[in-house]
Amino acid sequence: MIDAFASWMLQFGALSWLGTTPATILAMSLVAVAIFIFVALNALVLVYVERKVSAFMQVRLGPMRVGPMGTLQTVADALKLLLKEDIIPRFADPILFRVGPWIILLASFVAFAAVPFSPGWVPADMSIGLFYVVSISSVVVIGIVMSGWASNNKWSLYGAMRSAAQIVSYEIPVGLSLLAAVAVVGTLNLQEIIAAQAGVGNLFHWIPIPFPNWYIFHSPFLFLAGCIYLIAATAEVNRTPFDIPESESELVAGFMTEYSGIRWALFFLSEYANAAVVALLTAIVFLGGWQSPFADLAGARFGMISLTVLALIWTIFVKYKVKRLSIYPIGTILALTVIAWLFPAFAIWLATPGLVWIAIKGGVVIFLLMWFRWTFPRLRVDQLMYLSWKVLLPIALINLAGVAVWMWLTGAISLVG
Amino acid sequence: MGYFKNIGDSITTLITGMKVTMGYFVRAKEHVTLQYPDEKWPNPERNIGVGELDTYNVIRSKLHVDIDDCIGCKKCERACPVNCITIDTLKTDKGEDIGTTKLGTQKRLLVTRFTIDMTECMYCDLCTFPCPEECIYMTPDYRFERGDNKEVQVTNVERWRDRNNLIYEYSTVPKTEVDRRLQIIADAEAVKAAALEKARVAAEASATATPKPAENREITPGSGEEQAHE
Amino acid sequence: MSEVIFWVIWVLVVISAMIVAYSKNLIYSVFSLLATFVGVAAIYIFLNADFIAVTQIVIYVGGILVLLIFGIMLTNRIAVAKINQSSFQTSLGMVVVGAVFVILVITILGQSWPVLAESMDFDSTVGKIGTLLFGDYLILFEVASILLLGALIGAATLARKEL
Repeated sequence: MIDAFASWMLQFGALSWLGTTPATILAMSLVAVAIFIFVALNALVLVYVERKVSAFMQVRLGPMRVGPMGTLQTVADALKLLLKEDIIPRFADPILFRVGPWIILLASFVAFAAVPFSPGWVPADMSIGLFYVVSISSVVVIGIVMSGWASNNKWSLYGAMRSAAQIVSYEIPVGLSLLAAVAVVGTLNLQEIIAAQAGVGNLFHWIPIPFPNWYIFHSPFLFLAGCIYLIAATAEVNRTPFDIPESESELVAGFMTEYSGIRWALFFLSEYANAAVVALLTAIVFLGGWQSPFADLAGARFGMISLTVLALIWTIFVKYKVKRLSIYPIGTILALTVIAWLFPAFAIWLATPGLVWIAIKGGVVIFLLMWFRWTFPRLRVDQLMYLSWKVLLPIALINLAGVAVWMWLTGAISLVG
Repeated sequence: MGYFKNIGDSITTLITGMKVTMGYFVRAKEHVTLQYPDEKWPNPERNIGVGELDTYNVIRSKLHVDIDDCIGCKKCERACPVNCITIDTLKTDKGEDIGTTKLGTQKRLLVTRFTIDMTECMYCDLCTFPCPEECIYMTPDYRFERGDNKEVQVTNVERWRDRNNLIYEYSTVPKTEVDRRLQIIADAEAVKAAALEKARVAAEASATATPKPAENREITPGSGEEQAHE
Repeated sequence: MSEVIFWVIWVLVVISAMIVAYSKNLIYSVFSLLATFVGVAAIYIFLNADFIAVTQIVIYVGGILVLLIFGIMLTNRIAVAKINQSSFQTSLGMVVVGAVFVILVITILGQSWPVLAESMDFDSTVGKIGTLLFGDYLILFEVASILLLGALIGAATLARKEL
């Protein structure tokens, strides 16, 4: 992507005086800036969405005052954080206290380097992309421990310790569940993983219902692997119900207790950047990434059927509960369905942009994470370790073997040769 | 197999919990709580036992004075069992018209201070009945906050002074006007005192001319002034 | 451009390694190890060993460094403890170091370094490493895994209360 961008820039007369190397450097910087803007906007939008989702789940309205429906509330909050006094405790370690948040932000920021947003739109197309994203996310723990220790506060230190133990433990189920998908596709390149999930096939290979070839529909084992990945990744990004590093009721705010102003905003940026990485990785590995489910005629038919069924379910079960509000989604879905039946080509055209699809899938996963967060109570420390080492790890291991057996049964691999 | 039962139980209970929250999420607009500053519950109607006076059948939440109708008779101040009302008045000049009340009474006194200390008021309603002009009464407004909120009618001149200050000032006479009138009174009294002093000096001069026992004339001008003022 | 990046990484690695060695504060030593490990991983990438580079980050940064931090932070009064950095037997040490230096210089100068005409194209090393590990060196791999399993069981046994 970088090289293509650089050569595209060199096409223009005004920029052609740039050599290849400066153009490449410029392209790299521009892509990095774009990703940073994405990270910042991502945090702004997700904070707002999270507040709204939490409010609706707790029968409140959430922010309503700043801007229409409170949409500018997070902007106002960000401005407030930028203007706040930057307090460094007197007995805190002056260097590590300043460096810690940047390491956390950096670690969650560079993970985007390997994330493919669209066909051809990946900042660095690595052959080990999946491994890179998983490994670079583990650097976050160093920053957390650094800021927790440098705060010179027992709550911060406890939070940092818990976070380190938790992230180190949950890396193993994360790795094993992703390994199950990697075993099927046979590559670590994220673009190739997505490309392998194109088209529409049977659900779980044998059940004759047309489903997209996403890995979550590949086999029951990969479905389970997806569930394990989501649980373990929730724990790895320190979100509730696994947020014991910053559990408010025990540790004030965990490792970020002593932080204020812009540094605290960095923690927030990285928290939501991590959530976005997890959601995007789930979408890429298990939900087909930027692949549209309606990209061909069979897919369009699948889309029509599923939309009709959804509209029917909505009409039968939800309508009388939601009253007026249900008319618009039903209308939209029905109109889409009719259009799709009449003009399959239009449905395919509608379905092509990969950026939209990966955004939709990632958004669904992020909503799932928020749903978890505002439903489940926090786990105790020992329960957390129990879940990781005694439940997720054995299941993930058996699951990996199950995936191999499934591939042998479906004929994807053979024992001979 | 407690281990697998444990896993199964947790999965089912987690799904139950997620169902609950999703139910609220979908139907949030129906169940949402009252958005207080924008919308309020109506005050409940209630019979406070004043007989035929149906128009004055309100919840007693705040004492209010229509200061334009007050004639400064101080009947409410005397009726208050906890002394939360304080009234200061000044006489007007002869022939000066400061308006009439809504019942048509000509106002004679300038109410320079009418404070109600709402921290002391016990909402007994005893002050409202002696009022000849029906200008002091209870209102159902239960909001005591101060600030720049337009909805809250605060007549306090120094509204920014103290948020915890619940002494409500109802008098609208500006301080300069009060000072001016007090100055006029003080000037008049000074003139009077000077005249008295002159008379006393003249009397003393005549007394030294014709000596008399001094014990009977111990009244000083100052004490005489105080008695007159009180 | 890649040469510039290489030298930047070189400076990063050397400076952070010197902080590790010479810092009086153990905490600073441990945290500057982070820069050293990441820099070494970057140098692996320059050697076209992308898999090794990422493995370096997973194992050394995500595992060993966290373990070191745990050990140091759970030790009481670690921030106040002064590390003894003074040297003994300076003259003898200089002789040994000088000898090693001379040997290294002779070796480096005597070597005919092959110079690549073109920059090598990236080719994924994951498949090759996998084939080698599970093909040619399967026995060694399994023996190593048994060793690790033994270490794991030993650690769990030692950590039990009722020994």
